Amino acid sequence: MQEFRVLMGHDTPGYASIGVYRDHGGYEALRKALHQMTPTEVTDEVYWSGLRGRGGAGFCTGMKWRFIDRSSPVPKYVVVNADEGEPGTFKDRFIMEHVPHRVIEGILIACHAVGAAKAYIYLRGELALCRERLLTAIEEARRAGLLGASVLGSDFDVDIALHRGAGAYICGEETALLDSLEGRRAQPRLKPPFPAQAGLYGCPTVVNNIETLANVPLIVEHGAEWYRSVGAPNPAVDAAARTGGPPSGFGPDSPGTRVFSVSGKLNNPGVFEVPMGTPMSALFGLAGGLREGLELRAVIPGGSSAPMIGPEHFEIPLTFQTLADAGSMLGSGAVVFIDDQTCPVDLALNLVEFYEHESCGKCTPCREGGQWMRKVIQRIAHGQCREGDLELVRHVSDGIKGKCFCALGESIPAPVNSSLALFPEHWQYHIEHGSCPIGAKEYSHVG
Amino acid sequence: MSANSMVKLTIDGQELTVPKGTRVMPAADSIGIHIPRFCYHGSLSVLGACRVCLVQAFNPVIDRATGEPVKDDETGEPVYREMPTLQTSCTLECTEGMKIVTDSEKVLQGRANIIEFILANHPLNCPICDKGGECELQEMTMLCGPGRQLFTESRLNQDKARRIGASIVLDQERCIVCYRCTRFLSEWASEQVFEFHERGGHSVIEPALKEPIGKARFAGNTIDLCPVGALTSEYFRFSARPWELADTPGVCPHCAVGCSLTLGGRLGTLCRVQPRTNYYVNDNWICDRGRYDYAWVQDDRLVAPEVDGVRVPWETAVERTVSALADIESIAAVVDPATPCETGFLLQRFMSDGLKASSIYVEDDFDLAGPFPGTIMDLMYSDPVILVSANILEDQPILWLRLNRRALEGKLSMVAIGAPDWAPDLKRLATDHADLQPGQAVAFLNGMADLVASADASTLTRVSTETGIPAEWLRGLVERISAAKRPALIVGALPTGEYAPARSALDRLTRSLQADRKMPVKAGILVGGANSRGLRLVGCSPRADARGSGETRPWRQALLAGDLNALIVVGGDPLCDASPELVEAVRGLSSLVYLGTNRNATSELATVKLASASFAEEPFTFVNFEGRLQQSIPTNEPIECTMPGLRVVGRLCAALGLWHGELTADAVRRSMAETAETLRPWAAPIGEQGEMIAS
Amino acid sequence: MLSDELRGEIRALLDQYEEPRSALMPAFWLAQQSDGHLAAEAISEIAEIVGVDPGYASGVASFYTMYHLRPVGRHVIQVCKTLSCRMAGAEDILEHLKAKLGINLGETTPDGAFSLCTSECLASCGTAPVMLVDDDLYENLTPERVDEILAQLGG
Repeated sequence: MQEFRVLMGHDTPGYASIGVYRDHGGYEALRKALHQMTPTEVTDEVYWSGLRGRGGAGFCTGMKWRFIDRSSPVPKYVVVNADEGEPGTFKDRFIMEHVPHRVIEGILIACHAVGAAKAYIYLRGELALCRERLLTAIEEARRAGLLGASVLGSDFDVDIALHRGAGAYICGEETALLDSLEGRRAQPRLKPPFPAQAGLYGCPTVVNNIETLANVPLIVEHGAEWYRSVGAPNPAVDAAARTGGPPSGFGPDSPGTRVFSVSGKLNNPGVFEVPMGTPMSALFGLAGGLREGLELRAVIPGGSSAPMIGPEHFEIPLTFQTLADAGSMLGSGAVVFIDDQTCPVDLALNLVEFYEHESCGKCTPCREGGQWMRKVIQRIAHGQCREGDLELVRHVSDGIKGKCFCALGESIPAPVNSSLALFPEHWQYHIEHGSCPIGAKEYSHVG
Repeated sequence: MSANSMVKLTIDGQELTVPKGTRVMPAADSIGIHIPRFCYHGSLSVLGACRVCLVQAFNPVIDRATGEPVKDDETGEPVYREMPTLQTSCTLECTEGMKIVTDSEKVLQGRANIIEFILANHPLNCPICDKGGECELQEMTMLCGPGRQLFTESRLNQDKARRIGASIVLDQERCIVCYRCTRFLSEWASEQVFEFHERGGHSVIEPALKEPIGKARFAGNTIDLCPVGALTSEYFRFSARPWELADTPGVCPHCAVGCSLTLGGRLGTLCRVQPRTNYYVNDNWICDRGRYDYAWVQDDRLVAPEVDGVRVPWETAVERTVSALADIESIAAVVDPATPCETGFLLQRFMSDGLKASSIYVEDDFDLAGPFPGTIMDLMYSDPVILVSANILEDQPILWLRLNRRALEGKLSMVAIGAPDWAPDLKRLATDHADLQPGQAVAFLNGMADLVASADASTLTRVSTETGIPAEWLRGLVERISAAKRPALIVGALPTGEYAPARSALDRLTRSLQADRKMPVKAGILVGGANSRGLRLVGCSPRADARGSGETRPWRQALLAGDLNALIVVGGDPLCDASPELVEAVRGLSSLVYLGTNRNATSELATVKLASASFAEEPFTFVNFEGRLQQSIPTNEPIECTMPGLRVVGRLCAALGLWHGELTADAVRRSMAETAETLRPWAAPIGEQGEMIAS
Repeated sequence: MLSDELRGEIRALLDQYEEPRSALMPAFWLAQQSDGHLAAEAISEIAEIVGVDPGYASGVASFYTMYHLRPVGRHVIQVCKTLSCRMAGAEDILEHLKAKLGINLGETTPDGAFSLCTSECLASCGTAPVMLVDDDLYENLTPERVDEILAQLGG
C-alpha cells in the first residue's frame, strides 16, 4: 500500500548516516545534476515532474525555481522551510530524522539549479533531534566533499547553514520566515515582490519545504516521467511536456507520492507515504482505524488550516483538486481523524487558541478577531453562553474572512466554520444547556 | 512620461490615468475620493496592516491566446472578473482597465468589520482622551464604524499615561498597532525611540532606550502620526481641545530651512506648533526644536515699551527713540537673522534715510558665505551629498531628515567630513565619513578641486598629507564623485578668514565638477538663520569691508574702540555672554534701543525697550536658504501692549516722515514691491508652499 | 555579563550571514543555553555585538516564545496542548504534572528543578500526547510514564 520514495530507506539501519545512504545510491543524483545536467535542465526536469510544494500551498516547485533570475549579479539563496508547526503535521520531522541526507542532497541540487552558493535551513526551535541529525548530515557531507568548494570536482561551491527558530508558527509563512532569518520580528511581507525577486537580504530566493526538497534527488535520478508514473497526474501536463508547449494543466495535477501525517485516536497512527490520489479510507486503514468503541465523525484532511469534512468524504482520493472541490485542502498532508468522543466545540476552541497565540499581530482582523473569537467560543465551551452567541461567532468569522494579510489569519475561521457546519446540534446543545452533550471536559489555557 | 508607463482605470466610475506602479489609495486621493486608512501614510512605506482601506477590485478578463480583453458577446462591453476577496487599496497596484469600487455595501461591511475589531480592545474613553476631536479612529468610527458594540468580552489592560522622556506620553491601551511611529523612526529619522514588543494581541510599543526622547531630534513627529491618542504631547496634553485652536499657517523661526508650520493658539497662548505639509520644504515633519521650543512666546516677555526701566505709552517710546537717535552720528543696528522681511525693510529705510552715518549688521555669516546655490529638492536628487564641516543634523535638521530618507532608500549617500571630535552623530549616521585635520576645510576643498581634475598619486599624497584623510579614502571619494551624475557639496560655518578662500576653492571645484554634466552641480556654503537671505534682499547688509564673524563682528570691534554712539538691537540676545569690556562699552553709549520679544541680557542693558509681538502674533515673511518666500499668519493677537515689529519700526519711520498711511503687512509689502524689482514678489499672493523668488 | 568565550562564539556567528542582524536569534540561543534564560543585560550585550539597538533586540526576543526572558527551572517542561495531543489527553498529563510538581502553568518548583508550561503542536501527533523536557521529546505519555520521567530527571 505504501510507496516509499521520499521515505525510501527510512527502515534501513544507519540510513541517516552518509555511508549507508551512499551505499544505497545516495548523492548519485547530485553527481548527475552537476556532471550531466545544466542548471536549466535540472530546473526543467523538476518543472515537468509537476512536483508541488509540500508545505501547504502546493505551488509548482519548478515554477518557483524558474522565477529565479540566474543572470542577476547579486547572490541567490535557497532557504529551506523546516519550521513544521501546522497542528497535525509531523512528516517533515520524520523525514529529517530518518532520511536527512536525502534532504541535504535535495538542497544541494536546488542550489545548483538556481545558482545559489548558500542555503539556510530554518528549523523549528523545538526539533532537537532533527537539529542533531541535520548538523551531523551537513558535517558528513562537508567531509565527503559534497559541501564546500568544488563539490564532487565540479566548479560548484555551496554551503548550508542551519538557523534555529524560537517558537513562532508564523515562520512557516515564507516571507515571515525570511524576516526571522534576517533577525527581525517575523511578520509576513507584502507580495510582490515575491522571494524569487527579492527574498533574503533583498536577493532572489527560493523557499522550499523539507518534503519538497526530499523529492528532488529522486526526480533528478529517475526523471520526471518516472516521478509521474504514480499518483494522480493530469494527462494535460504530460501532453504539454511532450510537445514542449505552453505549460498547462498544473491545477488539477497531483503526481508522485505524498507523505501523510496521520493522527487521531487510531490504532496505528504515524507517517505514511502513499501515491497521491490514494483514498482517505485507505490511509485510515493503514493507520489501523479508530480505537475500539469510537466512531468516525469528521476528518481534518490537510492540517489545522484545512476545514474539517464529514465522513461522506471518506472515500475521497487525496489530491490537491479533489480536496479543494470538497471545500477543504490537501494543505500540509496532515490527516486528523476526529471521533465521536471529541467535542467539536472544544476542538474549535483549541485551534482558535492556537491561531490567537501564533498571530504575529501585524494585521487587525487576525490580531483582534482571533482574540474575540477565542473569548466567545471559550464561553460557549465553558457553559457561559449568551443569547446570540452562535450568530456572534459567525459574525466574527465573517469579519475575519478574506481580510487578513496572510493565510494564518485566514485559517482562524476554518475550524470554527467547519465545526459549526458539521455539528450544529452539538453547538446548539452547548448553547442551550451550558454543557457538553458527550460530557467532554472543557479546558482552556488562555485568558 | 510615455503612454505605456501609464495605466487607465476607474474608481467609483471616475476614469483616471496614473503612472504604472501607483497604488489605488493615492490614485483615489488624487481625484478626491477619500478611502479610510490607519496604517497608510503617504510619506511612509506601504504596509497593508490595518486592513481598513478595503475596496472591491475588478479586472478585465484577458484572452490568453490573443492578449486582448474579452468582450461580452451581446453587449460588446469588456468582461470583468472581481478579485476573490476585498483588496487593501494601499497595497493594490493600479493596472490597465481596472475598476475599483470604494462605496459598495460589501466594502462598507468590510470596513465596519475592521473598525469593530480595532475598537474591541481600544478603550472607549474618548471624552477624557487628549486626541478627541482629531482622532482618526473616532472619525472613522463615526463615518463608517459598525454603529453598535457587539464586543462584550473582557478587554486587554495595558500601561496608561507613561511619560517617555520629557515630551511624549504613551498610552499603550490606545495603540491600534498601525506602525506609523516605528516606520517614521526607522524610515526617516534613524532613531529607535519606540519598538514593538510581544506579538499578536499583546503587541505593544515600548520605549527603546533608557533615555529615549532625551537624544531624539525628530520623535515629536510620531505624535502627529499617531492616528489615536496613544502618543500625545506632554506640552500640549490637556491644555486645549484641538477644535478650540485658531490654527494658522506659520513658518518656523529656528533655522534656514524654514519649515512650514501650523500654529495653534488659543486665548493669547501659543498652545502647540505642528508641521504643515510642504513637500518642497519639510514634507510632513518638523524637528523637535521647532516643535517644542516656543515657551519663550509666553515666558519672560517684554509686554510693553519701557524707557529707562519705566513702562511708557507707545507714543512716548517712539518719540524717545527718535529723539535719542536723530542727531547722533555713528549708529549701528544689530539684527537677528530671524527678523521678518517687513521689519528689516522698514529698519533699513529708517537707518539709511532717517539717521546719520549708520550701518546694519545681521548676526550671521551670510555676507561672507553667500547664498547656497541649490534647493532642498536639488540636494535630495543629488548623489553623493558631501558635508564639509556642515552639521546639518544639528543646524538644519529637516534638511538632514530628508536627505537621510533618500539615503535609507539607497538613493543617495551622505558623506560627512569634519574634525575628529566634530558631529559624532552625523558621522555615525552618514553613509561614510572621514576625519579632517582641524582648520583644513579650505585645504580639503582645494584638494578636491585638484583631485577632480587629476587624481594622480602625487596629488593624492599631497592632499592626504594636508587634510589628514587617508589617500585611499580620498581616491574612493573622487571616483564616486567623478562617476556621479549629480554630486553636491555643502560647507558649514567657517572661521571669518576662511570664507573667501573657501568660496574661490568651491568655484574651482564646481567648475571642474560641472565640466560635461547636464545637471547643475550644487556646491556652496550653507550658513545663516531663518531669514538671513530675506534680510539681504530687503537691504539689511553691511558694507563689504565691514563683514565679520562671531567675536570678530565689526559692530563689537567698533563698540570696543568707542566708534559707536548708539546701538539698535533687533531681536535675539547679542549681548548674552558679553565680556565685561563690551558691557562697559554698551553702558557708555548714549542709547541702546532694544526691539524684541523677551527679557534677556541685551534688553536689560537697553535704555529703550520696544516690546514686539512674537512669531505667533504678527504677520510676516521669511525667505529660506533656498530663496523660498513664505508667509506666516498670526494665530494670536499681540499680547498686552506689544506690537508687531513692522508697526514699531514703521512708527519710527513715520515719526521721521519716512512712512505715510496705514501700517499693515500688506501696506509694507506693497511699498517693498514699489521700491525694487527684486521685491516685486511681495505684492503677489504667496502660495501655501511658498514662492521661489531667488536662486 | 557574557563570558569572553560566549562573546567570541557570537562574533563567529556573524560570518554565517550576509547581514549581522541575522545573528541575533542564534546569539540569543547561545546566551540562553549558557545562562538558562535570556537576561535583559545579555540581550543588550548581544545587541551591541550585532550592531542593533538594545530596544530593537528585546523587541525581537519578546516575539519568540522559546526565549525565556525570566529565570526558569533547571528543566523546562513543555506539554503539547494542540489538536491531536488534546484529543489524546494532554490535559490529563498537564493536570497530573501540576499536581505532582505542585505548581501552575508558568511557575517553577520551589527547589528550582522544574518549570511547567504548555506548547503549541510539537510535530509528534502520531505519538500523542507528548511533552518536551528541555531538548528531549517524550512520547505516548501516561501519568505513570510522566512519573518515571520526573524520577529520572531527579524531580
